[in-house]
Amino acid sequence: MADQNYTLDIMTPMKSAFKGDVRTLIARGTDGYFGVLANHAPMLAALDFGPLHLRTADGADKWFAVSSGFFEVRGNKAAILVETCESKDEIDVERARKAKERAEERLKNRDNVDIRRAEAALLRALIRLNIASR
Amino acid sequence: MKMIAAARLRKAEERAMMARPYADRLQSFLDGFTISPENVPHPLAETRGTIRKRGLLLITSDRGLCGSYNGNILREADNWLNANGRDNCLFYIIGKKGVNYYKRRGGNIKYSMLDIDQTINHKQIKEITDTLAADFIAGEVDEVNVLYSKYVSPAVCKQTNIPLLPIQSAESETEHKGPAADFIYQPSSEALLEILFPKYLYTRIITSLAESFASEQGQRMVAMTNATDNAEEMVRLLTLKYNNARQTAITKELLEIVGGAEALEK
Repeated sequence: MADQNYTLDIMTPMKSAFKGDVRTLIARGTDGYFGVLANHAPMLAALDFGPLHLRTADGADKWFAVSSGFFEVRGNKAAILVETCESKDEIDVERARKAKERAEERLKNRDNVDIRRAEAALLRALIRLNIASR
Repeated sequence: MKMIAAARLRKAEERAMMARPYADRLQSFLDGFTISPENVPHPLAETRGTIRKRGLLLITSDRGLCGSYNGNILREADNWLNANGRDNCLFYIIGKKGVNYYKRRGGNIKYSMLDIDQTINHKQIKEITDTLAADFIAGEVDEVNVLYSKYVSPAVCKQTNIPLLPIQSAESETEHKGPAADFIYQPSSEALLEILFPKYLYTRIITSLAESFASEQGQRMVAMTNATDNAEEMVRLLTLKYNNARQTAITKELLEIVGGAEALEK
């Protein structure tokens, strides 16, 4: 069945991060994770910083760490617009590890810290590390 | 210089080209919300009845030696200034050339950024975006345009002046698509706009910068190519002149020697 797949375009202001046919994708929306298969109803969704999982048409798994942005699908054509999109190989593990330590440190001595910001930083670092270790 | 400019141009051009599809797509998202700016009041989309102050985000270069790049964009800026009245205009300037120009000419510079990182870093763009958004919301300006050089080819760039704030979706597209009524919005269309507006402003600024940087490098390469060609021509002419003079001197010396020898023989 040819229509198990749909085309996906991941765009950032710096580059086109991915372009091709995929079978499924799972992304982190602002309301939680959602998955999209072929023939999905037209949708526009807001994405939060999170992992993005693709299964391409040939069955390969691809993982990305994406920043907040948008997801749109209509007529078996999907697009993801995010500010950054890093594949497994593009992630700077050392930097993410340092960011994680920094955020943990801040959260430990709670005084005088923007807790939400520190938590967000920690989450970003954890997602990056998680993707990099796959 | 020519080689350096060419290498930089390639990078800048690539970046500008990459930014375009993203910006176009975001624009199409926004255009889908034709009805919404009226229905969903957002401070960045507020159209004001009376425009007291107009802002202009002007993108110039930090360095010279790029032909008429700065001259052209500053001429456009002057036109805009004259059209709107000097007292009603506020400048937000990127690049040393523009800042110096309006300092000398007495323009109201509200904000300036020098030595911007040509690789485009998030922090600087965010600062510009936040400044513009804050001033607009605070009512310091009622309208903001951006004036930048749209990249066409290395030799050609087009000075473009487009409105930035308030954010409006493209007019005249009642027939042309826009997400149909059965579109699913996750979370809600209001919440999406809330996220879309600041992102849109940010993207507009980032693409204007990318286009301008590519134009600047293109103009610089052309200017440097001309300079190199002119220098080569000059070297050729001077070499010719030098050889002429040398030959004359040698001939003269030979004549003197021969003349002297002949005089001795007699």
